[in-house]
Amino acid sequence: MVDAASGGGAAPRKAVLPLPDGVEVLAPSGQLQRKLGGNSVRALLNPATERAALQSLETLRGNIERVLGERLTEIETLVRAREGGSMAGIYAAAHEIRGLAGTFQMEELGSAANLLCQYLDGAGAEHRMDPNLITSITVTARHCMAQAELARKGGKPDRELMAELLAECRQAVGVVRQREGRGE
Amino acid sequence: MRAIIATVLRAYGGRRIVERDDGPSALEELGTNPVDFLIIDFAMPGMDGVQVARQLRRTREAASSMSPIILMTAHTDRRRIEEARDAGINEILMKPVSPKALVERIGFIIERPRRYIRAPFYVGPDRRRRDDPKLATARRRREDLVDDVLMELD
Repeated sequence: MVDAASGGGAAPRKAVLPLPDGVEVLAPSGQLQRKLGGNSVRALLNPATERAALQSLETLRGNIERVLGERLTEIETLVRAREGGSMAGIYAAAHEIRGLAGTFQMEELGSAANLLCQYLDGAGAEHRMDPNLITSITVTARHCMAQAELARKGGKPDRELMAELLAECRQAVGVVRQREGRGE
Repeated sequence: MRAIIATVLRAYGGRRIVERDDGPSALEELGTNPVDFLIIDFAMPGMDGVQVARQLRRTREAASSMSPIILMTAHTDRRRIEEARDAGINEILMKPVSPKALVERIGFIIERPRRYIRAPFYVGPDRRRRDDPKLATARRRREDLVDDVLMELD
């Protein structure tokens, strides 16, 4: 309801519309601001604290590499089983690998996992996946993971070969999706 | 992913970090424990992060019903982002997660706190973020509406 202005030449009086029934507007509690102070978080955003956080993350690397290996094994097992519902499991494992690999600067492994996600994106639960394609990508992912480990131990990873393998997988994903009627 | 987030938070001075395995157990904890903010993953077994956020926001009596929520996701498509926003998510943290990006999101929550809206169709932070002078406050917006009405009456 609008509280309209009165006449008589006076300037129109602006009115505030009431909130619709059942709508409440609540002020933020300010609890977090009081606890941490206005600029304390910005103060943390400096190269030294970021380096310290990255060093802390390094303590997890061993565990993360183990988890990545387990997820790849999970994908391989699910592809072999070819049972109903395995696609969701493969997607979940690939999704996790993609996220973890990115955080630990294993870009090529993340790209391989991303290709698996791209292949499975939008496929229904009953979709008949292409096991050969998934196997090819998983083999590439294993190779990328081994190369990342090599780099961590001071060796020189073969980035050219990884790029080549990933390009082949990327092309295959496009072709298979097209064949399955799920092309762009 | 939980271990990564907890490690980063501790590295930045986080003191009390509560971790839960899945959506239902997180909701149980948030029902009684008023947390400063929560970080949830979109991809979780059973209940996804958006479902958790929606249910938490709609549980008025939950201790953390209005705590800021950061959602981690690798999904960048508009539909998913809008779905998260409409579930009452405050901030989205894109994967792969980096310490800097996480702290930046926490910074947004602290430095730009938003009002909360509780309506039958939506519960969560005010979804208008832009610092548009025309939409700076709900009062101003209402006044704009009244101006429009007065213009039509003229």
